[in-house]
Amino acid sequence: MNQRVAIGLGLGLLVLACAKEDEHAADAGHAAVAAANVLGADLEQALALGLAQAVEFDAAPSIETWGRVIVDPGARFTLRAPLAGTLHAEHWPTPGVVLAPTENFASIEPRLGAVERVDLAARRADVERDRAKAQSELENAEHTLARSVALNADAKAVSDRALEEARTRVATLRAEIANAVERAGALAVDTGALSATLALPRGGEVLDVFARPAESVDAGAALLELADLSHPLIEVQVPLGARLVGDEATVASLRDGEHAFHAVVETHVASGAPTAGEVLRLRVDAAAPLRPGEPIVARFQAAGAALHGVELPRSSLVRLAGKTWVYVRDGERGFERVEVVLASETRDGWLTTTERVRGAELVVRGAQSLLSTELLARAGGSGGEEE
Amino acid sequence: MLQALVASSLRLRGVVLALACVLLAVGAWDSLHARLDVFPDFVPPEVVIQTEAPGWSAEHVEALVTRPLEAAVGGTVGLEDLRSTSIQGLSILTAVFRDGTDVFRARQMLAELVASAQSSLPVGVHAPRLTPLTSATMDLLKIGLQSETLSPLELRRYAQWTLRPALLAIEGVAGTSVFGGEVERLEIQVLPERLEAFELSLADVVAAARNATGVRGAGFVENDNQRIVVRTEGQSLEPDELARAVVARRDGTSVTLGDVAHVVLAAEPKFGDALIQGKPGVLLTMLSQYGANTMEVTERVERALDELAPAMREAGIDCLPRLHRPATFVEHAIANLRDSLLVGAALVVAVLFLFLYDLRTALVSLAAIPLSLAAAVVVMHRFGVTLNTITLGGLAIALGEVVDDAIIDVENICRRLRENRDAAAPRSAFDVVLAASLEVRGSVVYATLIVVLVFIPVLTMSGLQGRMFAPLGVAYVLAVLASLVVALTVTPAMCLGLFASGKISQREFPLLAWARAAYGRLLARVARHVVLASLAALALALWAASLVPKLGGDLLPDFREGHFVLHATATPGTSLTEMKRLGALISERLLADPRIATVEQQIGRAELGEDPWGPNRSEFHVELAPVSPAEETEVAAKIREVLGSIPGISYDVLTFLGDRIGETITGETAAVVVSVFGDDLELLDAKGREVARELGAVRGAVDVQLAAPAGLPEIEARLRPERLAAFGFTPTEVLDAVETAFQGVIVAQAFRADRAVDIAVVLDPARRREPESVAALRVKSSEGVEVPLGELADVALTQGRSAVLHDGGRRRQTVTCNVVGRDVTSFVDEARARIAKAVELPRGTYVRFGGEAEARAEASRELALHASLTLVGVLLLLSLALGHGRNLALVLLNLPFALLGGVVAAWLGSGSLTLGALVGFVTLFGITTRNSIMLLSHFRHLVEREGCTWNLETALRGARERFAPIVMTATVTGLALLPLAIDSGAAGREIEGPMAAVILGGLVSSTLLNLFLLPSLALRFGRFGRSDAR
Repeated sequence: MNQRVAIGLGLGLLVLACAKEDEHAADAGHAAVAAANVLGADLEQALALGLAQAVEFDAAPSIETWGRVIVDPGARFTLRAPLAGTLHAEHWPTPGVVLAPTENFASIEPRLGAVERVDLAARRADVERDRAKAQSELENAEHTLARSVALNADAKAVSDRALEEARTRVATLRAEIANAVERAGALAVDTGALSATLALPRGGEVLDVFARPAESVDAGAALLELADLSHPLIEVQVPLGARLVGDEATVASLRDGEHAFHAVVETHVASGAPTAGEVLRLRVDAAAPLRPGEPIVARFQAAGAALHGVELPRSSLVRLAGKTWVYVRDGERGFERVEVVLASETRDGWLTTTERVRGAELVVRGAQSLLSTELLARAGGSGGEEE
Repeated sequence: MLQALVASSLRLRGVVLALACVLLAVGAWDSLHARLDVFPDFVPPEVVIQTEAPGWSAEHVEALVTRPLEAAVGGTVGLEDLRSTSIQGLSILTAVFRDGTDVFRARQMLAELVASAQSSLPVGVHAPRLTPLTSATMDLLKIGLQSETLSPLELRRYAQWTLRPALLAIEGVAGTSVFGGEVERLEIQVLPERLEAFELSLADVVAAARNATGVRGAGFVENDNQRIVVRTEGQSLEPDELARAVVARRDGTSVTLGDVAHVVLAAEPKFGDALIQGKPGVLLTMLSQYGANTMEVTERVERALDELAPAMREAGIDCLPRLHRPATFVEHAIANLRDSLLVGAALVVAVLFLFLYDLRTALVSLAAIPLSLAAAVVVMHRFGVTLNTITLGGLAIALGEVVDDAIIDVENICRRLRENRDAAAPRSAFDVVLAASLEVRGSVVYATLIVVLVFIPVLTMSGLQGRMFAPLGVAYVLAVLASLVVALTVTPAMCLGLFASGKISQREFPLLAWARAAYGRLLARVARHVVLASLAALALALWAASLVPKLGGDLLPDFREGHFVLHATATPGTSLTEMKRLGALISERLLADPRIATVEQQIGRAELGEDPWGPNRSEFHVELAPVSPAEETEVAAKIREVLGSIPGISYDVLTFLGDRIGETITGETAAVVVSVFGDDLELLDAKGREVARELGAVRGAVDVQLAAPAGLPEIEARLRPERLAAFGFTPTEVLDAVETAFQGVIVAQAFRADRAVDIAVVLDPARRREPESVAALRVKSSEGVEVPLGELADVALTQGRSAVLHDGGRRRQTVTCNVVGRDVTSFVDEARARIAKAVELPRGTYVRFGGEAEARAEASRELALHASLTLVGVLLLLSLALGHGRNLALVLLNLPFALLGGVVAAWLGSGSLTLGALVGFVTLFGITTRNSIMLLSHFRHLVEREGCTWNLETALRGARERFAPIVMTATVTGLALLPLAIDSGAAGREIEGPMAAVILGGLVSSTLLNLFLLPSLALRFGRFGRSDAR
């Protein structure tokens, strides 16, 4: 009986041993299946990839450079005070206000001392007295002249000679009155009764304000600086070695890149340094809301043929071994890594002329994971890089 | 001496019993107030030095930061290993000290050396810092914050400035690392085209920003009465204020920072990020302080979180407080082990009552258990040893021997008292108890000393294994020694008190009586066919020996923590965004399994975090809902399946403790670590890949990874001196411009209440997304010449490396993998052979295996070496105990037979020999030796003391008399360990389970051999007393 128990026990242990060997065999099979790993189409779901069709894109070769709006020296005008005095104006402009040419823009009340004022008052009183005296004498003289004319006509009761003297007297008095009025007028200007009127011969935008109303100014002092900014002038420096085609450019404010304006090169200015590029001044040929000092970007057409290619979204690009790649879907076969040459940057990505990606379906989400998958498979699961 | 001790105990039995009661009370108190932990502190004394070098490549960090620091600290006294990792922007040195080194002293020494080396570090490198000293398991708690209403910036601000300080203030929290969200800073994002338009340079902006944000002290005014501090304010704190700072005057107008840059409150560049349940959030990881109690500190942190909960709710923040809570495993593990101990103890009680068939006898035997264990706990508590699954395991496996000591004593005392009562001239009970106690005591002392000696190899193991298992040995030895003392003092005292006057029961458990009779008959037959029986035993032993090579070897078993740590690594250069996208995908697929409660992903590293990882590496923490061990295994498979479904990553799946243990052994988290050492990084990469390929081809290999793969995309700008000269640039002008543009320069800090926010100048984010933007960066010289960087330097996309690893100051490339479906040792053997055959290594390059398999092999070697030394002592003791060389030979011959049950149990169980199982064999060796000694000593006693002739009759009598103690001891030990062995996969029983299984299996074979073969062989070959006969 003991032998039977021993045999039974032995068989049992043998069965257990076999079972354990089977487990090992099953594990080996599993490992072999797991080792197979390719960049198949099923990765789209496994890695939740995002795909997008490559979009055709045309781009002329261009050069972008930056500068800022400057004030055109030829369109700049400074309004100055004609005489020393106090500035008077009902509406005095602030910087940025656009003014039209006008005859009566402001006035200046002359600036006088105390002795001058007394002297002027005395002289004005003398003139006034002379004018009043002449006026009263003129009335008598005119009356005498009228009587003399009537008497002369009525049988020559007054002689012709007396008549002529009366007429001379009236004319003399009238001349005296006119002289007094003229003298009184001259005196009135000096004393402020008649301020000097300022005219604005040229319109433009006020760039700077140097004096305020009620401010005392010297003769020749700058009151306002204006400039005609309706066609802004822009100064940019072109990168060294850039070859521009034509004299035209598109400019836009860096603060508000939405609106672009057409501009034409007006002058070339020497940069003064052999290592610096050429400095250009561009005139915007339409009214543009660009302010002096405003940073702008100018785009020029560059020499070279126009590019026709595909726009690659930024998220589709992966860099490996010093090169740039995208993954394209090759039907049901799976995903293929394609090297691309980036020709120029676009607003949303890069333009490439690589033919292989034309019309292709690009991986735009998860491209790096595909790369990781590929490298991992190549390195035998160790994550190394062999490119 | 023994006689004096026993006699005194008998005389002062009242005092002895009172002291026993005191011991019980103190033991109970200490048990209730002991530090509870999963494992002993298994991490060697180590110090981590981190040095930030913002913006520097891994190669630069290696050459200019890591090397000088390694040279500075390399000769530190007690330094055992010095590992380093140099990654982009960070150098990490890990200095591992020899066991027993005072870690505080080691830190002090390193701090001084590092401080002196700091002056040799290049400008721009931050001061090296020593990371906080943490406990072995490091992680204390991981919590996640999410919000529907707060922005990532606001959420991070709350975590950083409100929650973190509150948590750091808690006693026992060593540090808190924060992942995710956005760290705010005032950023001056320069628009290069505007700089060009205004003819300004980056340096102009940096200078203007510095001038606008300075903080100055203003002194004080003092008069006869008062001193009044002068404070100046005027720092630009808000983006709008800062934007108004003037950079230059152009055409009569001021150009402000706002004209040339976007001045905004933005996020700092991220080193890492976090997803919680697949969604963005902020993750806080708290680290426990060295020596802190996980349970207590966790409770404190949770109390603090409870207090903060209403404020968080009010702020619209959802808090997930248990993304990883190691304390849960501690609770489960301790509870499971406690249950096993209680069930085992209950079974022991039942068996003792049945076998002894007398309440008083059973009571005396039982009293030894709590007394011995209490004594062990008190001693451990006084010496700062924590109560953990390992020490509790030691106490559990000691249970059998503890009871055995008492049983031998009680059984002999009762027998002698009965004989004395029937004698013509009865002696006093005192004399009888004293004599009976001393009669067996000599053998018991020898047996106990041998058991203690046998455990010396376990106590003297070095490394992780030593730190892990020595406490088990300590607990075991203490319990056994305590039981010896109890058997010498309390047991005789109780026996005298209980049996001296009362009647001693003559009754016997009927089954035991029948079994003894059957045993006598069977033994007589075996004794007659001793050659046949010996041959059968030899055949079985040989068969068991043939199983040993088939048994695999694992250092430690898989732990059932209810938590998994996953590492997912994509190819170097993968962005945080892509890793987050993949993380969301993985999280979603994992959370579809209802057994998974939470998933969090931490990508890259936290600022000055512990792990030196780039953005291409993620760690997931997966917390399971309550599941059974079997389900946990299924979930692990499911996790692997999910990770396997994401082909772009290499990954590994570990338990948290497995992760930490792996890191402790090699600094890597995997079970198998192969390092290729050499000088040429390219060569190391190539050889590393070859090793990886070979490793991947070995059956059972999973998660094969290169620790520091090359292939990190880099943009290299190499300055051209002739161009610099032509354009009038100095190199630093150019380098400063590139640094400012792409790395950013911190110009000042803005202070808001108690917060400091960096103010940085950097290129506009949209201008630093494309590699092509580097060459296009316009650099302006001090003389006003402005040219693109591409004109001054060769700018090209190249391949760099994500990390450079060192070990012992030498460069290394490391390949790691885990093993599934087979044992690690056989895997490593096969891998070693394959690599030796297939990978050709040039001169100066060599391969070194590390990891779990090496640690286990090292442990096995140490065990074997120390065991052979110990064997000498055991032989001496045995010869003293047995008195004759032949008897000694009999015991030694018997041992392999005894161990065969353990081998079979291990083979039928996991099929692998963990270190715990090996310790089980050590225990088994002790138990078997003890039983053999007791049996042979009894034969010797019969012949020498009772004058029997050594023949079949005496042998049968001796064997029959020892039958009950042997069976009882075996049954008690077996039943005490049975709950551990059954369900050995449950939390807390992972190590002790296989150990218990080995001991159980060994007990069966050992008991059978002790009962049948040893008496038969002793009859034929033994020599006892004067009248030797066959």
